[in-house]
Amino acid sequence: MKALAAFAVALLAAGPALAAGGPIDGAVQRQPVNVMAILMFLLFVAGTLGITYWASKRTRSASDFYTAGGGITGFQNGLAIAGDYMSAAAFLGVSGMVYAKGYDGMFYTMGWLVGWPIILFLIAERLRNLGKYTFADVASYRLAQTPIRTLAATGSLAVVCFYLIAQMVGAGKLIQLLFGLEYGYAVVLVGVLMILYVTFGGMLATTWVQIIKAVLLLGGCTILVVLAMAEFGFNPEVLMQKAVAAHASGVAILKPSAAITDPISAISLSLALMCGPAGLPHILMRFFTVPDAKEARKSVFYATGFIGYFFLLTVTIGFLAIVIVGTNPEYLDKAGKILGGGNMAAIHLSKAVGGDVFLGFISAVAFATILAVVSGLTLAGASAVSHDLYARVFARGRASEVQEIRVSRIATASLGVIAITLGLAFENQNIAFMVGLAFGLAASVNFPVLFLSIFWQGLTTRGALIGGFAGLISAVAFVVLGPTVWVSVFKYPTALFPYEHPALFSMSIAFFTTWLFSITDRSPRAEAEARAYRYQYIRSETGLGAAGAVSH
Amino acid sequence: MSEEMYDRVLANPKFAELTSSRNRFSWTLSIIVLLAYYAFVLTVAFKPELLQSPLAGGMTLSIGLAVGLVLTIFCFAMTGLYVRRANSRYDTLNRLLIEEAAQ
Repeated sequence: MKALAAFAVALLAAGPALAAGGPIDGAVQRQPVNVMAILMFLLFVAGTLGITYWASKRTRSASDFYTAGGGITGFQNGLAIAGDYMSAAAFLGVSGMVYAKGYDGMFYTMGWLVGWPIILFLIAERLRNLGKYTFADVASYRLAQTPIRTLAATGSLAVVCFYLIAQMVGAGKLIQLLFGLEYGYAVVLVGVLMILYVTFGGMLATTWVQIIKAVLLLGGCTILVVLAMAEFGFNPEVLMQKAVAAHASGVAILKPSAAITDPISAISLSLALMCGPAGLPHILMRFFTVPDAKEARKSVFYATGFIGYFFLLTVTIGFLAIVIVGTNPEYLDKAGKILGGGNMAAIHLSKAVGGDVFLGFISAVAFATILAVVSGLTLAGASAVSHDLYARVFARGRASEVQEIRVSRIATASLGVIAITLGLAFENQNIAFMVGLAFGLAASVNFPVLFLSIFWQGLTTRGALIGGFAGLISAVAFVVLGPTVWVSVFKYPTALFPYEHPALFSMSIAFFTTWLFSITDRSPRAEAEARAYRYQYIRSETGLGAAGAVSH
Repeated sequence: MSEEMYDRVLANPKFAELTSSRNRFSWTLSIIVLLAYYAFVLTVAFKPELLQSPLAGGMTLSIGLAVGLVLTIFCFAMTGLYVRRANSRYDTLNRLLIEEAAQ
């Protein structure tokens, strides 16, 4: 049981991207009930439910529900994107990874960051100009609606489901650690709150929950770093000298470990870290909440700044914890391992430098972070069901807006119930691979289809469909046959596919098959699709005819 | 949006000017960022001990940590550079183009 719980913690350690070998030291123990943390969290819940009530009065049309009426400013959206991206996994996982292994944590943060400038230069404004509510709008712009929407919705739902299960199980474990609440209560609580936010408040409430959480998280981490750095006279050189002296690995914490220095692993991991975000449906959806391409660009600019700053803080927190937490017997067990598991480095640090009140605050922020991320995911999943599958595929565009909104609310509630059920079912399973799978799918299904539909005139429905499903199947197969499932879950001695991070291979398969089955497609439909690229190109470059903001 | 309007945009030399200049700019920036990032990834893969070496003699602060800080600032600066030019020069050109096509 303890070992399985530790695996769940490893999932959080893996960060939003991949289930890398995170710091899995020490099993999860339920902590004593933390009253201060619960009070602060209740305050957050009360505030966000108030916002949901306010947002529900303004959420009437489909555009309100999916994109907050397109009325979010670039700055607000930048904070919300950063909020979607800065999960509890990134906060606790990266600082925990630095605490355990040193420099490896920084390698992950660089990959997650560098995707953003690329998204800005190549994707953001074209996505805004072509799409309305979901990225499937863009992918199916000139291709056949039914198959491409089905593919995009399948890709989105697969990413959302795996990510959601991982977050739910992670939330249950984390809340057990932070608040001393039972696992089951925690999962149901997260599920119910997320259903309330999304069903009643739609994108407007989800965005504001995300913005508040981003401000709390950035503020909390800043205070944590300032309080802790004061003990080193704000001198990073002093900090690093003491960290090297305190850590069991000594000076090796300044060097990437063997886990990432294998060239194929490093390159494959870097690809997934970089391209994954450009295929995550809840992130892509954020670009439709701003009025135009100009605000879309600004949102990435702000988001990059916030995300970069946040990652610098989390890496610093890891090194600070090596000295302050790692040398204090109060936070270590008899074997010298950190109490509560590897993800607790930042949490213990907050207690060490700020006492119980600050510990409560940071714990509440971590919980709020999970809640905000699952809400964004659920909204993206519900949109794939109602806007893509229901309105475009089943009703063939003949569904009324009222019907579509009703379906989206039903889909939200259903996804919430599914997430709670699976969250409870997977309590004692090793689900560390699910985060990796979600990112692998995003990079190997959604990203190639989106990228090629924007940039390649020769893309045809047949190519996108075959390539997309080839990416889907290969990403799942490589993860199942790889070390994270074949060895860690099925307990076979050796993996059939040797690499933990398959993105290099599954992305290559997706791009190659899409290309091959597009250039060999000689159907009249393929010709019409190539001709239609001209108009798509004009719209993606200029925004002519793009869906504008709806005024309230 | 009528097809004639799209055809007028396509025929306008400003469209070619806008797209070729902006695309050259955005692809150049992408390649610069990718080169910087993959220089880092390949260092991790092939010469990890380089990242461990001190910034200056007698220091513990390493080149790797400085690279992380510099890459972060660099990414943010590059997005700023792109947004500044796109939101002023390119958007002005874009607006003119759409106004002319609407006539």
